[in-house]
Amino acid sequence: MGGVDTTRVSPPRAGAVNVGPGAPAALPTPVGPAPQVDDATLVVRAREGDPRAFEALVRRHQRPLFGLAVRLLGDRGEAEDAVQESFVAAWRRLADFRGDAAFSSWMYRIVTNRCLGVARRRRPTVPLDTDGQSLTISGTAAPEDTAEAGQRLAALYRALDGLPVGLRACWVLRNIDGLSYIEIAGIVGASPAAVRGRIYRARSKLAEAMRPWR
Amino acid sequence: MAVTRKAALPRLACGRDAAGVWEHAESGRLDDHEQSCPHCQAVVADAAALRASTAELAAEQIDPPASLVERVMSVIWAELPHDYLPLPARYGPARLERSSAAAVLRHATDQMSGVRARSCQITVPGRDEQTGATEHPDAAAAPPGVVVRLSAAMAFGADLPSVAARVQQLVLAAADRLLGLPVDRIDVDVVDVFDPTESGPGGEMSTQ
Repeated sequence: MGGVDTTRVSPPRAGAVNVGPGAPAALPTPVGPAPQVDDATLVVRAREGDPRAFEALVRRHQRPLFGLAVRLLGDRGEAEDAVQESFVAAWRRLADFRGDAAFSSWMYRIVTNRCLGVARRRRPTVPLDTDGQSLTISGTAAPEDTAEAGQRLAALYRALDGLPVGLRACWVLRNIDGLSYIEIAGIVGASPAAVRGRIYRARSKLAEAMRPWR
Repeated sequence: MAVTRKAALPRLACGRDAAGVWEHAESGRLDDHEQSCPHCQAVVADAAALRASTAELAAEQIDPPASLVERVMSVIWAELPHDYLPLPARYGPARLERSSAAAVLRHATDQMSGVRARSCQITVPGRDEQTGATEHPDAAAAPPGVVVRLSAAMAFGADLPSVAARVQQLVLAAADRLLGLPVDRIDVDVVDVFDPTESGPGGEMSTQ
Protein backbone atom coordinates (compact mmCIF):
# COMPACT_ATOMS: atom_id res chain seq x y z
CA MET A 1 0.00 0.00 0.00
CA GLY A 2 1.55 3.27 -0.95
CA GLY A 3 0.74 6.75 -1.98
CA VAL A 4 1.86 8.53 -5.01
CA ASP A 5 1.68 12.26 -4.85
CA THR A 6 2.94 15.10 -6.90
CA THR A 7 2.85 18.80 -6.54
CA ARG A 8 1.87 21.07 -9.38
CA VAL A 9 0.48 18.38 -11.62
CA SER A 10 0.77 19.81 -15.10
CA PRO A 11 -2.26 19.73 -17.37
CA PRO A 12 -2.40 16.87 -19.86
CA ARG A 13 -1.36 17.43 -23.43
CA ALA A 14 -4.10 19.30 -25.14
CA GLY A 15 -6.93 17.14 -26.31
CA ALA A 16 -5.86 13.79 -24.96
CA VAL A 17 -6.01 11.76 -21.80
CA ASN A 18 -4.67 8.24 -22.09
CA VAL A 19 -6.77 5.98 -19.96
CA GLY A 20 -6.40 2.60 -21.53
CA PRO A 21 -5.15 0.66 -24.45
CA GLY A 22 -5.34 2.09 -27.93
CA ALA A 23 -6.20 5.62 -28.91
CA PRO A 24 -6.82 8.24 -26.26
CA ALA A 25 -10.30 7.76 -24.92
CA ALA A 26 -12.99 10.41 -24.78
CA LEU A 27 -13.38 11.90 -21.35
CA PRO A 28 -16.22 10.12 -19.57
CA THR A 29 -19.26 12.16 -18.63
CA PRO A 30 -21.07 11.72 -15.34
CA VAL A 31 -24.31 10.65 -16.98
CA GLY A 32 -24.94 7.01 -17.63
CA PRO A 33 -24.93 3.93 -15.41
CA ALA A 34 -22.18 3.68 -12.85
CA PRO A 35 -20.13 0.52 -12.94
CA GLN A 36 -21.07 -2.07 -10.35
CA VAL A 37 -19.04 -1.51 -7.24
CA ASP A 38 -18.93 -3.67 -4.14
CA ASP A 39 -20.70 -2.87 -0.87
CA ALA A 40 -17.47 -2.01 0.96
CA THR A 41 -16.69 0.70 -1.58
CA LEU A 42 -20.21 2.08 -1.48
CA VAL A 43 -20.15 2.18 2.32
CA VAL A 44 -16.91 4.18 2.37
CA ARG A 45 -18.37 6.68 -0.07
CA ALA A 46 -21.69 6.90 1.74
CA ARG A 47 -19.85 7.44 5.03
CA GLU A 48 -18.14 10.36 3.40
CA GLY A 49 -21.51 11.86 2.74
CA ASP A 50 -22.22 10.72 -0.81
CA PRO A 51 -25.96 10.04 -0.96
CA ARG A 52 -25.71 8.46 -4.41
CA ALA A 53 -23.57 5.68 -3.00
CA PHE A 54 -26.15 5.11 -0.28
CA GLU A 55 -28.93 5.03 -2.87
CA ALA A 56 -27.06 2.26 -4.67
CA LEU A 57 -26.94 0.33 -1.40
CA VAL A 58 -30.67 0.86 -0.87
CA ARG A 59 -31.52 -0.39 -4.35
CA ARG A 60 -29.25 -3.38 -3.97
CA HIS A 61 -30.58 -4.54 -0.58
CA GLN A 62 -34.19 -3.41 -0.47
CA ARG A 63 -35.69 -6.58 -1.90
CA PRO A 64 -34.71 -9.17 0.74
CA LEU A 65 -35.19 -6.64 3.53
CA PHE A 66 -38.69 -5.75 2.33
CA GLY A 67 -39.55 -9.44 2.04
CA LEU A 68 -38.35 -10.00 5.61
CA ALA A 69 -40.43 -7.09 6.91
CA VAL A 70 -43.55 -8.29 5.08
CA ARG A 71 -43.20 -11.77 6.56
CA LEU A 72 -42.65 -10.37 10.02
CA LEU A 73 -45.44 -7.78 9.94
CA GLY A 74 -47.90 -9.25 7.47
CA ASP A 75 -48.66 -5.92 5.88
CA ARG A 76 -46.93 -4.28 2.90
CA GLY A 77 -47.60 -0.73 4.07
CA GLU A 78 -46.15 -1.31 7.52
CA ALA A 79 -43.26 -3.21 5.98
CA GLU A 80 -42.46 -0.30 3.67
CA ASP A 81 -42.49 2.11 6.61
CA ALA A 82 -40.23 -0.16 8.66
CA VAL A 83 -37.69 -0.68 5.87
CA GLN A 84 -37.70 2.99 4.87
CA GLU A 85 -37.12 4.06 8.49
CA SER A 86 -34.41 1.42 8.86
CA PHE A 87 -32.47 2.72 5.86
CA VAL A 88 -32.74 6.32 7.07
CA ALA A 89 -31.58 5.24 10.54
CA ALA A 90 -28.66 3.39 8.96
CA TRP A 91 -27.66 6.49 6.98
CA ARG A 92 -27.66 8.57 10.17
CA ARG A 93 -25.61 5.93 11.99
CA LEU A 94 -23.12 5.16 9.24
CA ALA A 95 -20.32 6.61 11.31
CA ASP A 96 -20.94 3.82 13.84
CA PHE A 97 -20.88 1.06 11.28
CA ARG A 98 -17.49 -0.51 11.73
CA GLY A 99 -17.52 -2.40 8.47
CA ASP A 100 -16.28 -5.56 10.14
CA ALA A 101 -19.57 -7.20 9.35
CA ALA A 102 -21.30 -7.03 6.01
CA PHE A 103 -23.61 -4.11 5.34
CA SER A 104 -26.43 -6.57 4.61
CA SER A 105 -26.02 -8.24 8.03
CA TRP A 106 -26.15 -4.87 9.68
CA MET A 107 -29.33 -3.98 7.79
CA TYR A 108 -30.89 -7.33 8.68
CA ARG A 109 -30.37 -6.50 12.32
CA ILE A 110 -31.83 -3.01 12.03
CA VAL A 111 -34.88 -4.14 10.07
CA THR A 112 -35.56 -7.17 12.29
CA ASN A 113 -35.40 -5.13 15.47
CA ARG A 114 -37.57 -2.39 14.05
CA CYS A 115 -40.18 -4.94 12.97
CA LEU A 116 -40.07 -6.61 16.39
CA GLY A 117 -40.74 -3.22 17.97
CA VAL A 118 -43.64 -2.47 15.63
CA ALA A 119 -45.21 -5.89 16.17
CA ARG A 120 -44.91 -5.69 19.94
CA ARG A 121 -46.52 -2.28 20.08
CA ARG A 122 -49.55 -3.38 18.09
CA ARG A 123 -52.98 -3.25 19.65
CA PRO A 124 -54.64 -6.65 19.97
CA THR A 125 -57.43 -5.80 17.52
CA VAL A 126 -56.17 -5.64 13.97
CA PRO A 127 -58.15 -3.61 11.42
CA LEU A 128 -59.65 -5.33 8.43
CA ASP A 129 -57.29 -5.27 5.54
CA THR A 130 -59.26 -4.59 2.39
CA ASP A 131 -56.31 -4.29 0.04
CA GLY A 132 -56.27 -7.42 -2.07
CA GLN A 133 -52.60 -6.96 -2.76
CA SER A 134 -51.62 -7.17 0.87
CA LEU A 135 -50.66 -10.42 2.41
CA THR A 136 -53.42 -10.67 4.95
CA ILE A 137 -52.03 -12.55 7.87
CA SER A 138 -53.75 -10.18 10.25
CA GLY A 139 -56.39 -12.70 11.26
CA THR A 140 -58.97 -11.49 8.75
CA ALA A 141 -60.44 -13.30 5.78
CA ALA A 142 -57.95 -15.11 3.62
CA PRO A 143 -57.46 -13.75 0.11
CA GLU A 144 -59.83 -15.01 -2.54
CA ASP A 145 -58.00 -17.94 -3.99
CA THR A 146 -59.59 -21.23 -4.91
CA ALA A 147 -56.31 -22.98 -5.65
CA GLU A 148 -55.43 -25.30 -2.82
CA ALA A 149 -51.81 -24.22 -2.83
CA GLY A 150 -52.89 -20.61 -2.43
CA GLN A 151 -55.09 -21.53 0.50
CA ARG A 152 -52.30 -23.55 2.05
CA LEU A 153 -49.94 -20.56 1.79
CA ALA A 154 -52.59 -18.32 3.31
CA ALA A 155 -52.97 -20.83 6.15
CA LEU A 156 -49.23 -20.75 6.80
CA TYR A 157 -49.35 -16.96 6.88
CA ARG A 158 -52.17 -17.10 9.45
CA ALA A 159 -50.21 -19.64 11.49
CA LEU A 160 -47.12 -17.40 11.35
CA ASP A 161 -49.20 -14.46 12.47
CA GLY A 162 -50.33 -16.51 15.45
CA LEU A 163 -46.77 -16.99 16.67
CA PRO A 164 -45.24 -14.66 19.24
CA VAL A 165 -43.16 -12.28 17.14
CA GLY A 166 -39.87 -13.35 18.73
CA LEU A 167 -40.42 -16.93 17.60
CA ARG A 168 -41.67 -15.75 14.22
CA ALA A 169 -38.53 -13.70 13.61
CA CYS A 170 -36.16 -16.57 14.37
CA TRP A 171 -38.17 -18.96 12.21
CA VAL A 172 -38.30 -16.59 9.22
CA LEU A 173 -34.60 -15.78 9.44
CA ARG A 174 -33.78 -19.50 9.52
CA ASN A 175 -36.34 -21.08 7.21
CA ILE A 176 -36.82 -18.28 4.69
CA ASP A 177 -33.60 -16.30 4.73
CA GLY A 178 -31.43 -19.34 5.44
CA LEU A 179 -29.30 -17.69 8.13
CA SER A 180 -27.34 -19.77 10.62
CA TYR A 181 -28.17 -19.94 14.34
CA ILE A 182 -25.09 -17.85 15.04
CA GLU A 183 -26.07 -15.16 12.52
CA ILE A 184 -29.61 -15.07 13.90
CA ALA A 185 -28.26 -14.83 17.44
CA GLY A 186 -26.27 -11.75 16.40
CA ILE A 187 -29.35 -10.20 14.82
CA VAL A 188 -31.85 -10.71 17.63
CA GLY A 189 -29.39 -10.39 20.50
CA ALA A 190 -29.80 -13.82 22.05
CA SER A 191 -27.56 -16.85 22.45
CA PRO A 192 -27.43 -19.46 19.65
CA ALA A 193 -28.92 -21.96 22.12
CA ALA A 194 -31.86 -19.65 22.78
CA VAL A 195 -32.30 -19.16 19.03
CA ARG A 196 -32.33 -22.93 18.54
CA GLY A 197 -35.07 -23.26 21.16
CA ARG A 198 -37.18 -20.50 19.61
CA ILE A 199 -36.90 -22.05 16.18
CA TYR A 200 -37.93 -25.44 17.51
CA ARG A 201 -40.94 -23.98 19.34
CA ALA A 202 -41.96 -22.04 16.22
CA ARG A 203 -41.64 -25.14 14.08
CA SER A 204 -43.78 -27.29 16.34
CA LYS A 205 -46.48 -24.63 16.69
CA LEU A 206 -46.58 -24.14 12.93
CA ALA A 207 -46.71 -27.89 12.35
CA GLU A 208 -49.62 -28.10 14.77
CA ALA A 209 -51.46 -25.26 13.00
CA MET A 210 -50.82 -26.81 9.60
CA ARG A 211 -51.98 -30.29 10.61
CA PRO A 212 -55.25 -30.01 8.64
CA TRP A 213 -53.12 -29.56 5.53
CA ARG A 214 -51.25 -32.82 5.75
CA MET B 1 -46.32 -8.95 30.14
CA ALA B 2 -45.64 -12.39 31.44
CA VAL B 3 -42.01 -13.20 32.01
CA THR B 4 -41.04 -16.07 29.77
CA ARG B 5 -39.36 -18.75 31.77
CA LYS B 6 -36.55 -20.55 30.05
CA ALA B 7 -38.03 -23.86 28.97
CA ALA B 8 -35.62 -26.66 28.35
CA LEU B 9 -35.99 -28.17 24.91
CA PRO B 10 -38.35 -31.11 25.13
CA ARG B 11 -37.07 -34.63 25.15
CA LEU B 12 -39.08 -37.22 23.31
CA ALA B 13 -40.30 -40.31 25.16
CA CYS B 14 -37.39 -42.20 23.62
CA GLY B 15 -34.97 -39.73 25.21
CA ARG B 16 -33.95 -37.97 22.01
CA ASP B 17 -33.78 -34.18 21.75
CA ALA B 18 -36.79 -33.10 19.65
CA ALA B 19 -35.04 -30.08 18.15
CA GLY B 20 -32.14 -32.26 17.06
CA VAL B 21 -34.44 -34.79 15.39
CA TRP B 22 -36.11 -31.97 13.49
CA GLU B 23 -32.74 -30.62 12.38
CA HIS B 24 -31.73 -34.05 11.12
CA ALA B 25 -35.02 -34.33 9.24
CA GLU B 26 -34.35 -30.94 7.59
CA SER B 27 -30.88 -31.95 6.48
CA GLY B 28 -31.90 -35.47 5.47
CA ARG B 29 -29.50 -37.08 7.91
CA LEU B 30 -31.58 -39.36 10.13
CA ASP B 31 -29.79 -42.09 12.00
CA ASP B 32 -31.09 -45.65 12.35
CA HIS B 33 -32.96 -44.94 15.59
CA GLU B 34 -34.65 -41.84 14.20
CA GLN B 35 -35.77 -43.71 11.12
CA SER B 36 -37.56 -46.43 13.09
CA CYS B 37 -38.64 -44.88 16.38
CA PRO B 38 -42.33 -43.82 16.37
CA HIS B 39 -41.65 -40.78 18.57
CA CYS B 40 -38.90 -39.54 16.29
CA GLN B 41 -40.97 -40.33 13.23
CA ALA B 42 -43.78 -38.13 14.55
CA VAL B 43 -41.32 -35.23 14.57
CA VAL B 44 -40.13 -36.19 11.09
CA ALA B 45 -43.76 -36.15 9.90
CA ASP B 46 -44.25 -32.68 11.39
CA ALA B 47 -41.17 -31.43 9.57
CA ALA B 48 -42.36 -32.96 6.32
CA ALA B 49 -45.80 -31.38 6.71
CA LEU B 50 -44.29 -27.92 6.89
CA ARG B 51 -41.76 -28.35 4.15
CA ALA B 52 -43.91 -27.70 1.08
CA SER B 53 -45.72 -24.67 2.45
CA THR B 54 -42.46 -23.24 3.77
CA ALA B 55 -40.91 -23.63 0.34
CA GLU B 56 -43.91 -21.81 -1.16
CA LEU B 57 -43.48 -19.01 1.33
CA ALA B 58 -39.79 -18.71 0.56
CA ALA B 59 -40.39 -18.76 -3.19
CA GLU B 60 -42.99 -16.02 -3.08
CA GLN B 61 -41.85 -12.96 -5.00
CA ILE B 62 -42.32 -9.95 -2.81
CA ASP B 63 -41.56 -6.82 -4.80
CA PRO B 64 -40.72 -3.66 -2.92
CA PRO B 65 -42.73 -0.63 -4.04
CA ALA B 66 -40.94 1.98 -6.13
CA SER B 67 -41.81 4.54 -3.47
CA LEU B 68 -39.47 2.89 -0.96
CA VAL B 69 -36.22 4.17 -2.49
CA GLU B 70 -37.78 7.54 -3.23
CA ARG B 71 -38.94 7.99 0.34
CA VAL B 72 -35.56 7.05 1.78
CA MET B 73 -33.63 9.36 -0.54
CA SER B 74 -35.95 12.34 -0.13
CA VAL B 75 -35.25 12.32 3.61
CA ILE B 76 -31.52 11.93 3.10
CA TRP B 77 -31.20 14.66 0.47
CA ALA B 78 -33.26 17.06 2.59
CA GLU B 79 -30.97 16.51 5.57
CA LEU B 80 -27.67 17.03 3.82
CA PRO B 81 -25.73 20.04 4.95
CA HIS B 82 -24.53 22.28 2.19
CA ASP B 83 -20.81 22.27 1.71
CA TYR B 84 -19.50 24.36 -1.10
CA LEU B 85 -16.25 24.78 -3.00
CA PRO B 86 -15.64 28.17 -4.55
CA LEU B 87 -15.20 28.24 -8.31
CA PRO B 88 -13.18 30.78 -10.21
CA ALA B 89 -15.75 32.76 -12.17
CA ARG B 90 -15.37 35.91 -14.17
CA TYR B 91 -18.80 37.42 -13.63
CA GLY B 92 -19.65 36.75 -10.03
CA PRO B 93 -19.33 34.14 -7.34
CA ALA B 94 -19.95 30.56 -8.29
CA ARG B 95 -19.83 27.54 -6.09
CA LEU B 96 -19.96 23.81 -6.37
CA GLU B 97 -21.35 21.34 -3.83
CA ARG B 98 -18.33 19.51 -2.48
CA SER B 99 -19.97 16.08 -2.39
CA SER B 100 -21.12 16.49 -6.01
CA ALA B 101 -17.60 17.34 -7.07
CA ALA B 102 -16.25 14.32 -5.23
CA ALA B 103 -18.89 12.09 -6.82
CA VAL B 104 -17.96 13.31 -10.31
CA LEU B 105 -14.27 12.64 -9.73
CA ARG B 106 -14.94 9.20 -8.25
CA HIS B 107 -17.19 8.31 -11.16
CA ALA B 108 -14.57 9.47 -13.65
CA THR B 109 -11.97 7.32 -11.91
CA ASP B 110 -14.26 4.28 -11.94
CA GLN B 111 -14.39 4.41 -15.73
CA MET B 112 -10.79 3.26 -15.77
CA SER B 113 -10.22 -0.47 -15.98
CA GLY B 114 -8.60 -1.95 -12.95
CA VAL B 115 -9.44 0.91 -10.62
CA ARG B 116 -12.29 1.42 -8.18
CA ALA B 117 -12.42 4.78 -6.46
CA ARG B 118 -13.21 4.76 -2.77
CA SER B 119 -12.84 7.96 -0.85
CA CYS B 120 -12.43 11.35 -2.49
CA GLN B 121 -11.60 14.31 -0.28
CA ILE B 122 -11.43 17.80 -1.76
CA THR B 123 -9.93 20.56 0.32
CA VAL B 124 -9.29 24.23 -0.31
CA PRO B 125 -6.05 25.17 1.41
CA GLY B 126 -5.76 28.60 2.94
CA ARG B 127 -8.99 30.17 1.67
CA ASP B 128 -12.04 31.75 3.26
CA GLU B 129 -14.71 29.50 1.88
CA GLN B 130 -17.68 31.56 3.04
CA THR B 131 -16.99 34.58 0.92
CA GLY B 132 -14.65 33.12 -1.66
CA ALA B 133 -12.16 35.80 -0.78
CA THR B 134 -8.65 34.94 -1.73
CA GLU B 135 -5.45 35.82 0.00
CA HIS B 136 -3.63 35.70 -3.29
CA PRO B 137 -2.18 39.14 -3.91
CA ASP B 138 -2.83 39.07 -7.62
CA ALA B 139 -6.51 38.26 -8.04
CA ALA B 140 -6.29 38.30 -11.80
CA ALA B 141 -3.88 35.40 -11.81
CA ALA B 142 -5.10 31.85 -11.41
CA PRO B 143 -6.35 31.41 -7.82
CA PRO B 144 -4.90 28.54 -5.81
CA GLY B 145 -6.61 25.32 -6.70
CA VAL B 146 -7.99 22.54 -4.58
CA VAL B 147 -6.19 19.53 -3.23
CA VAL B 148 -7.76 16.20 -4.10
CA ARG B 149 -7.00 13.14 -2.05
CA LEU B 150 -8.32 10.01 -3.70
CA SER B 151 -8.17 6.53 -2.27
CA ALA B 152 -8.77 3.60 -4.55
CA ALA B 153 -8.63 -0.12 -4.89
CA MET B 154 -6.57 -1.43 -7.76
CA ALA B 155 -6.45 -4.67 -9.65
CA PHE B 156 -3.97 -7.16 -8.29
CA GLY B 157 -0.87 -7.32 -10.41
CA ALA B 158 -1.21 -3.81 -11.81
CA ASP B 159 1.84 -1.59 -12.02
CA LEU B 160 0.68 0.67 -9.22
CA PRO B 161 2.78 3.78 -9.85
CA SER B 162 1.84 3.87 -13.51
CA VAL B 163 -1.85 3.26 -12.83
CA ALA B 164 -1.80 5.90 -10.12
CA ALA B 165 -0.19 8.37 -12.50
CA ARG B 166 -2.94 7.73 -15.05
CA VAL B 167 -5.54 8.23 -12.33
CA GLN B 168 -3.99 11.58 -11.53
CA GLN B 169 -4.18 12.64 -15.18
CA LEU B 170 -7.77 11.48 -15.44
CA VAL B 171 -8.88 13.25 -12.28
CA LEU B 172 -7.12 16.44 -13.32
CA ALA B 173 -8.80 16.40 -16.72
CA ALA B 174 -12.21 15.58 -15.24
CA ALA B 175 -11.94 18.38 -12.70
CA ASP B 176 -11.04 20.80 -15.45
CA ARG B 177 -13.50 19.81 -18.16
CA LEU B 178 -16.47 18.63 -16.13
CA LEU B 179 -16.31 20.97 -13.15
CA GLY B 180 -14.17 23.94 -14.10
CA LEU B 181 -12.35 23.28 -10.86
CA PRO B 182 -8.66 24.14 -10.72
CA VAL B 183 -6.61 21.41 -9.05
CA ASP B 184 -3.27 22.06 -7.50
CA ARG B 185 -2.47 18.61 -6.30
CA ILE B 186 -3.81 15.07 -6.50
CA ASP B 187 -2.78 12.46 -3.96
CA VAL B 188 -3.67 8.89 -4.83
CA ASP B 189 -3.65 6.29 -2.04
CA VAL B 190 -3.95 2.65 -3.00
CA VAL B 191 -5.83 1.19 -0.04
CA ASP B 192 -6.85 -2.20 -1.36
CA VAL B 193 -6.35 -4.63 -4.17
CA PHE B 194 -8.97 -6.74 -5.85
CA ASP B 195 -9.03 -9.75 -8.07
CA PRO B 196 -9.32 -8.51 -11.64
CA THR B 197 -10.95 -11.75 -12.71
CA GLU B 198 -14.06 -11.01 -10.61
CA SER B 199 -17.12 -10.31 -12.72
CA GLY B 200 -18.26 -6.79 -13.31
CA PRO B 201 -16.78 -3.63 -14.73
CA GLY B 202 -13.66 -2.49 -13.08
CA GLY B 203 -12.59 -6.07 -12.64
CA GLU B 204 -10.75 -6.42 -15.87
CA MET B 205 -7.04 -5.85 -16.01
CA SER B 206 -6.10 -3.03 -18.28
CA THR B 207 -3.75 -4.30 -20.88
CA GLN B 208 -1.05 -1.89 -21.86
